Amino acid sequence: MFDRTAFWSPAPDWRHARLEGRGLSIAAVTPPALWRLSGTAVPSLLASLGVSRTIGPREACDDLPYALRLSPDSVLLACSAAAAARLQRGFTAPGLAQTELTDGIVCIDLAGPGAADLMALAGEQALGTAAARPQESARVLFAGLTVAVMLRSDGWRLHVERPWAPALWRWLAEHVAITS
Amino acid sequence: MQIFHCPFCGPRPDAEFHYAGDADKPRPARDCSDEEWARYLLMRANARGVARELWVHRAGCGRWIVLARDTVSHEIGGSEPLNP
Amino acid sequence: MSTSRRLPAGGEIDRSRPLNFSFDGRALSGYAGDTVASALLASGVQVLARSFKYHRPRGLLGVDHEEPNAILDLRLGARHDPNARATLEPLAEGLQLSSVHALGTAGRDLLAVLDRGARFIPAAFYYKTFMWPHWHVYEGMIRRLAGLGRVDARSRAQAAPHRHLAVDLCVVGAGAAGLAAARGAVAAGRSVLLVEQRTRVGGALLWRDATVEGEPGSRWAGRVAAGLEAAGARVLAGTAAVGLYDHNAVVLHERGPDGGRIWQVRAREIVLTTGAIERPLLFGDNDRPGVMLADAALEYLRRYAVVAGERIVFATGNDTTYVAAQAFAAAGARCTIVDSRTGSPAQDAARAAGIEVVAGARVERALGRGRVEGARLASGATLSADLLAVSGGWTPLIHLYCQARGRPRWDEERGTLLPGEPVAGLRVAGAAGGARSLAEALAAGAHAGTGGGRVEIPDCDDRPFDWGGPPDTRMAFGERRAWVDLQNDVTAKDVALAVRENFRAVEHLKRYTTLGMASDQGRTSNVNGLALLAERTGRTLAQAGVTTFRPPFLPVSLAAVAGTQRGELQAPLRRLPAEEVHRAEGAELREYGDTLRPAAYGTSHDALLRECRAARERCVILDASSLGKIEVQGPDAAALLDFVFYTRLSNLAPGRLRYALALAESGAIFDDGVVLRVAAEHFVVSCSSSHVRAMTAHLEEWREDRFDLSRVFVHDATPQWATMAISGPQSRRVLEALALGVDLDDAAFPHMSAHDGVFAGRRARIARVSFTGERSYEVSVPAGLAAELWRRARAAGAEPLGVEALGALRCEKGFILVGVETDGETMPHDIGMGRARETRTDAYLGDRSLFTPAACRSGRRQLVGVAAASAAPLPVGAHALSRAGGRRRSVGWVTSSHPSAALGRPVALAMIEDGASRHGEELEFEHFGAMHRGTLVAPCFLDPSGARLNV
Repeated sequence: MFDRTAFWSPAPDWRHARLEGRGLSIAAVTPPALWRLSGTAVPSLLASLGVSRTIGPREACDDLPYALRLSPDSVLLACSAAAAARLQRGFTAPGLAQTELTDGIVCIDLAGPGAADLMALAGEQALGTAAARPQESARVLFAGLTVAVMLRSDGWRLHVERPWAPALWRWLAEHVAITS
Repeated sequence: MQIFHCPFCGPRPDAEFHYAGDADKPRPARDCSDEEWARYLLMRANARGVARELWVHRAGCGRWIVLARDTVSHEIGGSEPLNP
Repeated sequence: MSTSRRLPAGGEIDRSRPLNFSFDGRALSGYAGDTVASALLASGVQVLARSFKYHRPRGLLGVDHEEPNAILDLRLGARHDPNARATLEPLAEGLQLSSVHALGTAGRDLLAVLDRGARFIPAAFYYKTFMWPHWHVYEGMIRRLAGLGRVDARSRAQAAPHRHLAVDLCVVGAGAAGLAAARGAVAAGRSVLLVEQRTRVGGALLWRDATVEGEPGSRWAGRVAAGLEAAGARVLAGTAAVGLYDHNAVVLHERGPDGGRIWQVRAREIVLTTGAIERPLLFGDNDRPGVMLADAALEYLRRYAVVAGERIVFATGNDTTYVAAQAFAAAGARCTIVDSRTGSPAQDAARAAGIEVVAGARVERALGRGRVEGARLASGATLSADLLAVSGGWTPLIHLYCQARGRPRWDEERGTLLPGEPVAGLRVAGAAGGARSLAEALAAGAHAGTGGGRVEIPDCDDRPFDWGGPPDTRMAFGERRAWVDLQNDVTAKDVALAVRENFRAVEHLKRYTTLGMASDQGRTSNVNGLALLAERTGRTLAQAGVTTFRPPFLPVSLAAVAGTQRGELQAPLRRLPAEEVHRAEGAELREYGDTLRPAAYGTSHDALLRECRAARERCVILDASSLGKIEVQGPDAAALLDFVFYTRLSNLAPGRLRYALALAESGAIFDDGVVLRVAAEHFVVSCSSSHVRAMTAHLEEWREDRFDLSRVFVHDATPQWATMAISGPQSRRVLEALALGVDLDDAAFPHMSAHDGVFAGRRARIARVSFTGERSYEVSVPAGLAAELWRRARAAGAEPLGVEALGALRCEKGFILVGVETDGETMPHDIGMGRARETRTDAYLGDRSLFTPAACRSGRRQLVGVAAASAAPLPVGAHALSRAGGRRRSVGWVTSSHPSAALGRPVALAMIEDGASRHGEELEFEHFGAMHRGTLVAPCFLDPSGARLNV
């Protein structure tokens, strides 16, 4: 039979996964809660949680809570467990669809002076330079995968769906190890 | 290697998008003739020049958009959401 | 032996760092700063290669990328390049070079005899000869004799990752014009990338005398480049712009070990200052070693301190060659100039400097067998020479302009192709744009760089550039063959042959003779070929037309194109959240679509049967986490699903599940899955693992097309959940042991219903859904608890089930797999699900297509089971045969086929024409010539009533 077990590297243990090199520190982080929220009631809900704006791939943010723009009417909210306690699965009238994704998204922080250079290997987007667009999605093509990116003061945070996270980690590991 | 302008996200590489056929093709009612349904299903405008094309911004906002794209020069005229 | 020699001083080489290398087994040496070509030339090696078809001896014609002959096999340590270009390869210690495709060495090739039979192998001979009895009889031998180089299948180059860069201005070519452009742009505050194919900036300033801003041109170039970098611009030397693509995308290839690196650049504007290259002259035996482009000989002299000959004849029709002649005379060579013109002032100046000039004369043929020994003029006079330095005019490098869909125009006065109408976002300047002097090149470059702003033009002592006019074809059809395309061995007579056979259009000429189709893309041959075509067809060069240029400008190794996208990084896969436990259990993992899943636990063939038995007799657990879980929420969620699905869903009660089909507009089954209604305004759609992204986009498309976006939402929640299917007669016992807080009594928890429970303190969902036909529970927990759920279920007695065993189990039950039983035409009524087609009157996707003549006709392929006549399973893909009317015809094929542990005989599903009404018929099945027999039966071999679901 066609056994591909050895070809594919095992996924890392996300609790302890770290990479160093190329002027970068890379680590998986676990925000307490991640929720996808869509609908006309999203802005007022965010405001009640202390989130004044939604962010695309060009606006910097460091702390919880934050809301990444996925589409014009949909965000990925990262917040504390206490804030998440006010959310509930499903549709609550009027105009709020809520889906928990705390386990479904892996967050990876790239920190250090080498972060911008690594981004230049991952794709065409010259992020962080062009002017922000109010409805732009934080999702971009990164190393061939769909990743929601957030600019931070010391680098970037990548949000990737859990099934694709090992592939992203493999890409990061290989490129961090290359010196050129 | 083209750059497409998503009306929400701005200029993004074409690899983020997926082609979905001609735009401006209203769905005929169920009582339409076989010919009319076949036209909707199978015929393509295949314009030489500016074409209005349906694309979905898969690796970005996920929204469906209509791109005015010149099929010869690859110049992008404008873009609008399928659902404004 | 040639008489080329190295000067004791001068040039860019570092005489304090000698380097040793070998060619065809001969030990040679050069210096750091040499190219392989300059080191070979300085070492006196004149024959470097054998020509493609006729195996004629060849030497260096050029000095850079225009060189057609010097392609060598190169080895250095682990690196092997079968097609290294001697003129572009820097010399390194320990290089081992050998000639390609000579039988023997370049110097003594046993296949040189092919040139004697040249008459029998002109252009396109293979359309006329070597035909009987069959072309393939000769093909192997001919292919072995042709070709350049041998690939070493063991080499494993690993190139660098691609880099992306966005700039305001990309300047291609760092000669005088390019440097002026870049400097002007930087002064105007633009971000600039300057790219130069040679290893140093300066272009022709490096070997032609000029003074710019008060200093020698080569020094000025270095100073400007340093200033650019200090001001924040990027200067990439040793990097070629190989392709220009849509929206000003420029692809660069930076040379380096292991194939180098690709840069993908997006520039707001591009300036091409790529210069011009010299053309050879057309005369008899003009391909002999010792015939060199005059400007190339000058570059070898100035940059590498190599005098390529002692007794040099310059054959030309332009003043620019006289500069080279003066330089060689000053270096001590005896020089004679054969000029086709009379009365040029340059001739008097040359004579005054002691150089003999034969005016109004042309070279008719080169003399000498293995190498040049002299030249015979048209007048009959002969001159002795060890180097023929030729110049047939100049051709600007406008490849990138043409790739950007620019159309070149023929310029009669300069005798060459120049850029025509401007292309938006692109400017051409310098020699590439037809500049007639250094001052003009600097000015054009400066203007191009600032794009209309204030310009500062560097001053210089102006040097005029004589383009020389159109190619001279008068000596091309003499007694001895004149070569046009040296790399593909195409002669002037081949062009004449093509015209005689009516291949008169330039595109036909190119393909019939292969002129311009070699790896040098016709750099030194295209325009000469056009001139011959025009002459033979009685047209002007402007009428002759021009062929297209396509990327890459220079050959790029596949390793560079792949970059780091190799191995695991080439095609990333989705992974299961519990993958670590599958590995620990000894699973054989395999790619299923875009997900890595356990095929079976254990590698023996018995693993599959063992797992199937466990599934029907006890309890198994299967990791179903990759199956889609798409949430559709909102007041219009039911309406959206009713439209997208063929199966009605709006009447599904909360807490219930229903198997549903989604169709494409063609009426063909797009995907299937089970839909759960959580609440009135909350559904969860499951779909095939490989269809998650497509199904999400599908739902989103119709949401946007038909609905108010504030009333229905689509969220892909697949990654949030790990789902384990616990299945078998003992599955309820395992569920009890898991203690999920759910009442498992069948009255409270019937088949196709769902309840929320708790697992490890987190919310879980349990659904009674079965793909095996046994009692089954699908337990979904947050993905972080996947491994924990698996371990507890295993501890409670569940045995692992792989995807292959699942395939066999569902086949016994006749459950279809979309894309296996179904193809792009299969409609619901073909698989026994025609009820919605008959009853639904509201609109749904694909509705109209279910009533076309094709959908309604008889003879459509329908789902059936097949009981094989023998004990061996039928092969998948075996065609069912009909022999009606004496004709053998396929009436369908086997789609799935498995051994059955429960039944002790193989089971199979097939799609057969009118199969549903042909149960009991025995048919022949053919597969690659072997015949089998099977009887059509109902597509369910086990428990058709479904009683085992509640066992």
